[in-house]
Amino acid sequence: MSVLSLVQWLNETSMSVYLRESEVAFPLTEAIHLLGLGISVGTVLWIDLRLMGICMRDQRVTDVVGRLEPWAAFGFTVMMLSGVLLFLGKPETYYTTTVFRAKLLLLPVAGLNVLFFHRKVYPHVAQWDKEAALPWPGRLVGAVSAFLWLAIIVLGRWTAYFADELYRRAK
Amino acid sequence: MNHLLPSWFFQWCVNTPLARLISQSMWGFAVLETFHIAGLVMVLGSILVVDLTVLGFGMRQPAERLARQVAPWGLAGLVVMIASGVPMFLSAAVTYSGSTPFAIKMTLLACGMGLQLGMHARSGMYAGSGAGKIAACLSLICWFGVAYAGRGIAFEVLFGTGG
Repeated sequence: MSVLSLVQWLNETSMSVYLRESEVAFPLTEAIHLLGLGISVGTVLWIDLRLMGICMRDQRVTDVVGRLEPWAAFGFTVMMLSGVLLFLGKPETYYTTTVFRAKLLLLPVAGLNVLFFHRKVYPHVAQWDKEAALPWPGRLVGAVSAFLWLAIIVLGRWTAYFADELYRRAK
Repeated sequence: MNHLLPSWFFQWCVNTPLARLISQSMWGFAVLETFHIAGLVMVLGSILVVDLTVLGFGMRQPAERLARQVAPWGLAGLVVMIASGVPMFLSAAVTYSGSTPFAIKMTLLACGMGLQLGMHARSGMYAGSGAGKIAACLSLICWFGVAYAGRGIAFEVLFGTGG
């Protein structure tokens, strides 16, 4: 079974049809997706800036990560759940939208960045917990994360435009 | 909004050269909206981290000190939002003037900014007093409400009106 035929099958499920045809489902899910974005990237931003040594420089790295990461994880859960619902509403449209594919490629890269941070960088935190300027791996993780999330936000917003029927017809 | 200002004002807005440029271009509005959402994340992030700290769920450092550290980022985000939001408003001012979600959004924005200024002026509010905690809760409702109402401008159904 090819991915396209799977997506086409999804497109015809009753769940997908409901999400697509309900007047409230899509707008409400999109609003929740946006509020989740505010919570997730709104807190990750400070972890990134701290790792880069740009903001909260006098704060322990363990404090910034330990206190804000649970909020980021909560926000991402909201985003993933609402994002899956948004996708389920128009699977075939999104699957064939290039910016959406680019967004889906960047998401696992952001995940790998977090994994790299927790496996390779954070275990050494005791050595630079109170330092304003971190060794380069920490600074790199922060910069990569900030860049990726900005790119994912932009691609996410543009997915809505490129998936829009008016635009697709004009093309 | 259309009760606050005369209709010729909104008419004038949509006829400004900037408004015409945006409404005639295919991607102008989309580019502005992209900046608007990037600014929003900076604003919500700043509000969230400070308010959570006041409520005892955020950072361990004093909220007042934290607020000073994140304020430049929040203000920068607000400037980006206004700089992108005003042209978006101009391009569709007549539509927005009759939009309930837009009126709600502007009201929440004014309340949110008022609360922020109030917390800033009375530094005791950051120490986690009862009044400070209420202000922090209201602030979260106002600013996340601004984002929700912003979506409501595009989808009036979020406020149970229009369609």
